[in-house]
Amino acid sequence: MANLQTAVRHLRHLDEVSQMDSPIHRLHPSAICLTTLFFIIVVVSYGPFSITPLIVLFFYPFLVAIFSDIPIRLFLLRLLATEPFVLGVAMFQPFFRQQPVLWNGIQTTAGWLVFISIILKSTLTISAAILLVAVTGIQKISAFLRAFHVPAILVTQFQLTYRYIAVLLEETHQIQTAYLLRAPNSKGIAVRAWGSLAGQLLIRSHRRADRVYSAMLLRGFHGEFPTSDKRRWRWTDWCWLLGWGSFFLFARWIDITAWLGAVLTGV
Amino acid sequence: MHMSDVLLSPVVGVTMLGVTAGCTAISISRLNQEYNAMPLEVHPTFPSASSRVPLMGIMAAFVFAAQMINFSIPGTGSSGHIGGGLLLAAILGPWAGFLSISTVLIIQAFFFADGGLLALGANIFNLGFFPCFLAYPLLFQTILGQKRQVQHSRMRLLLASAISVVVSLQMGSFSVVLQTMLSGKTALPFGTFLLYMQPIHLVIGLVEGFITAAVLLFVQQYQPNLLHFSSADDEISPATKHTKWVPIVLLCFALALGGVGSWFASADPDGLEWSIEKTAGTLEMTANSTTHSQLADLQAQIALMPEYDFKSGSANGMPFGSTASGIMGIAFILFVMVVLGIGIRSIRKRTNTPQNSDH
Repeated sequence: MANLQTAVRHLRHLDEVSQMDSPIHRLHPSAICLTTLFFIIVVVSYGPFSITPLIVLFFYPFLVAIFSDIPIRLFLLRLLATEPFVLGVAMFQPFFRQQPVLWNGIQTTAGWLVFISIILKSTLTISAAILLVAVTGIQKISAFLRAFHVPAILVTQFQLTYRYIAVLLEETHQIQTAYLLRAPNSKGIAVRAWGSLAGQLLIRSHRRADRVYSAMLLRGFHGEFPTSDKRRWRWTDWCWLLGWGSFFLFARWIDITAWLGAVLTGV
Repeated sequence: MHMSDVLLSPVVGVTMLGVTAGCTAISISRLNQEYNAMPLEVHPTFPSASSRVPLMGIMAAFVFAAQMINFSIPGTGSSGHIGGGLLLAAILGPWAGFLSISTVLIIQAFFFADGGLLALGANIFNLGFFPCFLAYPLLFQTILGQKRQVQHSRMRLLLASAISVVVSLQMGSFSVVLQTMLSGKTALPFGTFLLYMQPIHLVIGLVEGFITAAVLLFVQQYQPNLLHFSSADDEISPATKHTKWVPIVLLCFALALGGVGSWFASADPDGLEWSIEKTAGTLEMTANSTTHSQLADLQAQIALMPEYDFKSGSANGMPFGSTASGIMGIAFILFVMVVLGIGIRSIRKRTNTPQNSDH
C-alpha cells in the first residue's frame, strides 16, 4: 500500500473485477462469505507442523480463481504484496526451533517445518480473502453484513468510507505530488509542513463531508443505503456451501495428501 | 501492527471478534444516546445518530489516505506515518472514533488483504480500543485538563498527543504479543518477542505522536470547532462522566493484571508454556504418538496453547513419516491442479469466445 496511485488503481480494478459475470459471481454472497470464513478457520486450526494436509486445501482458492475468470495478475500481485509481512514473522522460526526432525525422509529442523507451514497457511488465507472481495465487491459484502444483523450505522459507514477513500486518495496524491514537485530530492514531507499539509487535507475533507451530506439529504437519504440485491438463495448456493464445507472437514480429518502419496508409493 | 490470520488460533481469533463486536455495540448505543441528548435544533431531521455517519465516513477515509503520506523524520533518512486511532478519537470523540477506525481496518482487511479476516477482531481491538477508550479519555483529556476550552496551550496539546499515541501503541503491541502467545503459533519465546515488539513501537509511537500533534495543532489554530476536545456544545456533567468510564477502567485493570501476570509467568522464556503444561498436562500428548491421533490433535487445537514443542522423541523425528510418501502426495496434487487448470481455462475460453465476440 506504499503508493497512493497504486492503491487507487487497485480499488478501481477490484471494482471492475467484482462486476464481472461468472458462475462464482452468480452465487449468493452469503454462500461465498460463509465458505471463506469457514475455510480460514479450518486452515488456521491446523497444527504448527502441518504441511501435507494443507496442500489439498489449495483446491479451494485455485478452483475459485479459475471459475471466476479473475485476472491472475491482480490476484498474484496482491498476494506478493502481503507476503513480506508474514515472512517477517516466519523467518524467526528456524532460529528458535532447531530440534532435528525427519520429514518424509528429509532431514531438517522443526523450525523449517513451522516456517513452511506458516507460509502455506498465509498463502491460503490471504488468497481466500482476496478472492472473496474479487467475486463479491462492496455492495454484496454490505448486503451480507446487513443480512447477519451488523448494525446499519456501521455498514453505511463502511460503504461511505469505501467510496470516499477513492476520492481522498486522489486528492492526497495531488497534494503530495504538488509538494514534491516544489521540493525536489526530498523523500517525504518536511517537518515544517507536517501539520499544515495533513491539516489542510483534514479541513478540506470535513467541508466536503458537509457538502456531501447536504446533497444526500436532498436526495432523500434517511440513514441507510437501500441494498437492491434481491438475489434469492438457490440450491446451487446450498451445494457450494455444504460441498466445500464437507470437503474442508474431510480434509481436516484425514490427510488426503499423505494418503494419496501412500497409495501411489504403495506403502 | 496488523496481525495476519496465521498468527492466531481459531479460539483467540473468534474471541477477539466477539470482544470487538461488544465494543462496537456499546459505541453505537452511546453514540445514539449522545445524539438523543442533543438539543433538537441541532438534529431536526433524524431519529438516530446516522447524521454523524457521513462525517465519520470521510474522517475514516481521511485517515486511510493520510496514512499513505510519507512524513520525513528530521535528522534521519527515513519517513513516518500518521497514527489513526487517536486522531479519529480527537476529532469524533471516542465512540464515533472507534467506529471509524474499525471501518478503516475492515476496509484494509477486505480490500487490501492488510490484516486477516479472522484477525479483524484482534486488529480492531489492538489499534482501536486502546487509543479510543483508554488513551483518549484517560490520558489525552487529562493532560489537556478537564475544562473544555476552544484553544489549549500548544505545549499541552503536543504532550497529550505524543504521550497518548505512545502509550496506546505500547498497549497495542503488547496485546499483539499476548494474542500471539495465547494462540501458540510462533516459536518465539515470550520475552524475546516482547523485546522485539515494544522498542520498535516506542519509536513508531513517538513519530506518529508528533505527526498527530502537528495535525491537531494546525486544526486547532484554523478550525477549532472540528475538534472533539475543544468543542463546548456537548456538555457532560462530571458525575456521569466518571461512572461512564468505570467498566472500561475495570477492564483496563484486568488487562493490565493479566499482562503483568503473564510477564511473571514467563520469567524464564518458556514460562507461559510451561505453566500451562503443568496445569493442563496435555502438552506432550501428541508428541508421543507415532500414528497421528486425530482426537489428541483436535484437543491440541482446542487447548489454549496448541502444542508445538517436540521435546521428546524429536531426535528421530518420528511424527512426520519416514518415507517420502508425503512428498509424492504433494506432487500428485500439484500435477492434478496444473492439468485441471489448463483444462478448465481452455474449455471456458472456448465457450466464452462466441459470447464475447457479440459485444
